[in-house]
Amino acid sequence: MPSRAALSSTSTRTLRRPEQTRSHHISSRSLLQSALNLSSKPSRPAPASFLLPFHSRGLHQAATQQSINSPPHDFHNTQAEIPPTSFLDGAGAGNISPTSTSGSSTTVLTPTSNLEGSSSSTHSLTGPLVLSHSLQTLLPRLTLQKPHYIVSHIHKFPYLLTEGDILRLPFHMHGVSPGDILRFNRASILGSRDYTLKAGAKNTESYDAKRTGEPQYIDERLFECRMRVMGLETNPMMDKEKKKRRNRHKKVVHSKHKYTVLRVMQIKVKSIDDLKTDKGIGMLVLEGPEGEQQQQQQQ
Amino acid sequence: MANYFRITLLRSAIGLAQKTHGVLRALGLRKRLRTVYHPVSPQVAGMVFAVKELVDVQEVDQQLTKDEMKDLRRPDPGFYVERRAGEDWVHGRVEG
Repeated sequence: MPSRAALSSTSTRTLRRPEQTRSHHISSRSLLQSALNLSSKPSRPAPASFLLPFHSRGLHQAATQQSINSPPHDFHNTQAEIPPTSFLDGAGAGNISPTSTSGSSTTVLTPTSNLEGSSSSTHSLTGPLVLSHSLQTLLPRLTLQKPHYIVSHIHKFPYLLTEGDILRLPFHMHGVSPGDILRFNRASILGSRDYTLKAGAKNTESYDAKRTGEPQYIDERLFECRMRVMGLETNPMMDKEKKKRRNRHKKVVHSKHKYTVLRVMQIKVKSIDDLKTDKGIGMLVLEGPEGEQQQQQQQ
Repeated sequence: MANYFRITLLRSAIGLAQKTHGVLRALGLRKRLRTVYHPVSPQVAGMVFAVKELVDVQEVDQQLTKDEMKDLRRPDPGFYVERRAGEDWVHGRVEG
């Protein structure tokens, strides 16, 4: 049995040297170098991705004119091209007791008060949207306190975003082209400077529920988050050399990773009036202070 | 009435007898944490009993394929396309 103690294969990942790229231009310098064998060994460690020219870093202001490319009337409640899938969780929207800290209105610097809103266990848009009593009292304050931030989840990974941010996803998002508008609908936290809205715990835990390890999501009807696809970024071409010891044969694998870049166009936290008048919300349930429920049927 | 056994290998058979390795191979469990569906029968029940310390068993009504099981673990994408670029532009027509 061959011992596994000593690993006889090595693989090194290097950045492609400029002279390795295929170029038909023969300069005198390259001729001189090849003649005198001055080129160094390709064993440099791979650096992190470079700052590409159009990826400028000074664009994180939330209130720039450029962040709002199209007029506000384009961002009303449009019908989704691909409606979001509904979850099969059996529990209804959570009835949550309010947390102990509630923002006192007298002091200027209030501690961050937690609004535990309706959890997103009923992901389908036909389930009732339950607003707990604490949510009804604190949501107006959250809505008025701009700017807002959102922790939205793409394939379960969280991204903290605010208006005007540029988000470079760590993967190449297929099926979208530059200029498309995406709508992020899975969020775990919505917040402003003094207030935070997060989903409450579910009432029942189902053994047969989808076990994806996802966090508690806020009901998607409470907010609107729109992103525009800016384009693709690519890393420099990397060479991975695979070679075994005491064997002259080596194999080189090239990789050039791509990343989708998005820009946050709008983060809107809906107020209670918006929720009452918006169509497509379904049933809106407002809880009283003792937990009694008053239902309002929507269209 | 449950139709299938859902069998998951939780503990490895390294260091155990060849017979035990053989039973796991017969069940189709080559690696830890792999899940396999077999119809309920005394033969399968006997195989499970032979490796009962290594394995987790449930009775279920339907058997799932590898892709279906992976779909259950797949998280929500978290986004959808609301509007495609160039939707307003109609090919061949010049907008005045």
